[in-house]
Amino acid sequence: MKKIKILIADDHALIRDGVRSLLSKNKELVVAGEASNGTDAVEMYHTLKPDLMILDISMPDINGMEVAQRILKSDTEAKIIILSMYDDEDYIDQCMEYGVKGYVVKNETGDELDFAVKNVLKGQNYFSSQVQKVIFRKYSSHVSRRKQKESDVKLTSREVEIIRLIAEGFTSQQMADKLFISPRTVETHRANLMKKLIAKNAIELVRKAREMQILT
Amino acid sequence: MSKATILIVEDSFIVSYHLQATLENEGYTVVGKCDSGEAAIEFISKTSPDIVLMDIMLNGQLDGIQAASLIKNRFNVPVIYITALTDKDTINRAKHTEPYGYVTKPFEDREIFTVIEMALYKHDIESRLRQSEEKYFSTVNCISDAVVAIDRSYQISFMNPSAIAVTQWTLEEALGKPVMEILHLKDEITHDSPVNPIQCPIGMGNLSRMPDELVLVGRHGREIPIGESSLSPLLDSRGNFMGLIVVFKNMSEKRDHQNLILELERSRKAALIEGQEKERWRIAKDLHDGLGQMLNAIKMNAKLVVQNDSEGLNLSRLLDEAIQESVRISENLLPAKLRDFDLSVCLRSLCGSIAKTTGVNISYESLGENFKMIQSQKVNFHRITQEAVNNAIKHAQASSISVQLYEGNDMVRLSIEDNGRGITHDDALSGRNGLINMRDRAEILGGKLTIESDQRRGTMIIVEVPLEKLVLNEKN
Repeated sequence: MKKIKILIADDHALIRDGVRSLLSKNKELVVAGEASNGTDAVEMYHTLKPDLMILDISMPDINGMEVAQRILKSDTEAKIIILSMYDDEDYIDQCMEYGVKGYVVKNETGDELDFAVKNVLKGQNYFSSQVQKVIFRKYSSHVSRRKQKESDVKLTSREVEIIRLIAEGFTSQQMADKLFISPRTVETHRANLMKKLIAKNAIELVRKAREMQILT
Repeated sequence: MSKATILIVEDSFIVSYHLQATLENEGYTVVGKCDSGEAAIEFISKTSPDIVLMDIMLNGQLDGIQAASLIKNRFNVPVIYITALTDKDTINRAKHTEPYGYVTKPFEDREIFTVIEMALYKHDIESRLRQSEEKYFSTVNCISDAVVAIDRSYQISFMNPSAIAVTQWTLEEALGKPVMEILHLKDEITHDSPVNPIQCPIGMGNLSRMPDELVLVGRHGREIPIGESSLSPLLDSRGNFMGLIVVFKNMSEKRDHQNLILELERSRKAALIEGQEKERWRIAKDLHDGLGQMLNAIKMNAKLVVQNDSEGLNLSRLLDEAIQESVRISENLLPAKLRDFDLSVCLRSLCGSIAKTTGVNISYESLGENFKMIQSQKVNFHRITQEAVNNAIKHAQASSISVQLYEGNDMVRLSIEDNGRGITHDDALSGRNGLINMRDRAEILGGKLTIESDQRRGTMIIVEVPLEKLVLNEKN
């Protein structure tokens, strides 16, 4: 029977050895190649055409996220499992966006990597329990933030002051003179307010502020 | 005092002989007698007499007036005409050679002695005056300060070469022109010049220093910073106001020098901070990618050999703690994200983690594009944010902080605003390093840091970096 080809990309020989021994328990698998940097990883993927790739993020030249992005751009079906030290939402997010099929954090048990390999080879996605926790936390905070955003926009006292003066028809220079701050600062406030209240101009800004009862 | 030496230029031998005898009798020394203008010039070029007695009718090509004119131009020797000619034309021609006397033949002996003595005295005084004038003139001409004299009607009456060089007007062009036209001054900072600062002191007629930080706009629009300027009134012997002397220095070189020093200081600071960050980065990387990975590998290997009993679990837990610790130290030194993500993601993450550990409400907004800046620039923005947010929490006791990043097509602007009690005097003193560090980093970025702070409104820190100062990585 033809064995399943695996490519390991990690700049640490110790980790590659560790992964190799973990995989060796499964007789159907064979490690077809090992890459120690990002450039080699991309190249070896294309020459070896492995059934599965286990990919680290932090590598000396180009990082694993970029490696995944490059590979998945030309081969959307590529089966890539990220094995990284990072359990941070930004890393996980980015990798999922690029389309990796699995993500396991390095300090998790070997079983997690086992599961990931098995599931991904079956054509499913697998995100380890630690990764799932991060994704869930992000989702819930996102929901609560969105709720909050809809109900009240948090303006600082300086911003409220500025919006009041805008409503009274003050120019930036006049506001600067009145508040003893530089016109540059006033402009910054103005720009930030437009963004916060999602307004295109001063008139819209004042209207929205009235609607939100920032201005009475 | 020994009597003067005299050259007689006279075509009549008899007159010449008589003159010599008369003069020598009085104690003068006649050093020579010539009968032509040519011979006289030849003589003077070898032996300079104190005075020349010159007939107008002479042998040779030149007449006495022509000869006197040449002598006046070439030698500093006074000439007295002794002649029988008294017609208007001759006298008119003769006066243009500025003779020291005009004696008509026949003459009394006394008369000639008086004229000679007067001429010698006058010549002596004039020589001394000319010498001192030359001395002053050459002093004024060779000093590096620009010197401009202005008369009572605000017109230029003199400029030395330094002033000519600065204003780019030639002396001929400038003379008689209104001072406003030649000394076109304006304030270096405000760029306005409602009144030429020179005119006020002229009106008031008192001594004054000119304001500092003036620029002189040269004839061709070139702006030159001037400084150390002074205005002195020019008074005549009776104390009447005659005009003004303006003295100033061209400060371009000094300014360039100062700028160079500032630039060196800036690059020294930049190198220092960059070195520090590189070192932090190196250690963080070693901890994270080196030690951290090794611990992970150990954990993996341990899994293979150690049983899943309580000892095994304990070992695994210890290894996890060691891994987390190495990650924590590494992240404290320099967050790994700065290597892998855009600035916006890094700042959002920074705000999130500070909010989580302190419980302070930190909102983060990002608008505009997401530039792919090089790491060192991201690090500087990151450190400024970190410093500002930590100051707001620690020193200003803010309960709400708003961080906003705008990446537009003209600049990147980062603003950090809090509702704390502002930067107090004590904070400014104790937290000096923090504020200076933020300012240094903004400067290294090629941008500007503005701090607005008061007790009622809290603090707002703005960093603006023009787009052309950003170094972007190539887009993927």
